[in-house]
Amino acid sequence: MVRILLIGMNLLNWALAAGFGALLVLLFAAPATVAPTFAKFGSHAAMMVRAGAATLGIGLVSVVAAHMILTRLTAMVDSVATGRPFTLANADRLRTMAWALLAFQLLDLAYGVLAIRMSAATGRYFGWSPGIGGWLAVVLLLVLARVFRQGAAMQDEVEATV
Amino acid sequence: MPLRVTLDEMLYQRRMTLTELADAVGITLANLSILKTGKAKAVRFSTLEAICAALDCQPGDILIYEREESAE
Repeated sequence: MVRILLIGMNLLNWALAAGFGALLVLLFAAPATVAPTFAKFGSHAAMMVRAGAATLGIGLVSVVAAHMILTRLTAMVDSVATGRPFTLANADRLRTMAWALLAFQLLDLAYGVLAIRMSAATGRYFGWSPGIGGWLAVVLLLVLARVFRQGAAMQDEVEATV
Repeated sequence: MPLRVTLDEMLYQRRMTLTELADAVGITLANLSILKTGKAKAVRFSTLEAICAALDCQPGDILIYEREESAE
């Protein structure tokens, strides 16, 4: 059940990537098509097109990070189902997820800078606020990776005990 | 490994098979085999007790420490 949910989420993730990619292509290949959308920004229109492209770029890289997290999480759910979750493979997965989440957080921060600049220039709110939860989750995942590494060593020890 | 398990010799002296010992001790043949071949990382006191009881021997009869000659 959880597995299907995670795979579904990753499919949505890549659908989002396709959307981002299509918009990015539209932005550069057919500027005339998107010009009316940006017209409301008046003199800031050109800057907003660049900012929009940057946001889409951030979105595309985020999709890769989300893919890394979701695939590792799916694999971990599978390994829990086998009844042997304390393995070095899972420790590595958790560490990969931690770095991917860190990348996600940095991308979010980059979008934050962009959003603040866009807001300052246009006087509109672009929906970004800083949060501590993601950063804490990175630390949590790194600690869990260490715990799993230790757990894997202990499991090996127990299995070799007669 | 300098610690050697001499379960084989003990079993031979007692004219007992590994399967019989496994039954008497109450641990699986697979685990006993791990112990016999020296692949075990640790032995529980309860296992050692059960083996000693079944073979009527001392722990020293089935575990021997050999100093490594070529150790640097």
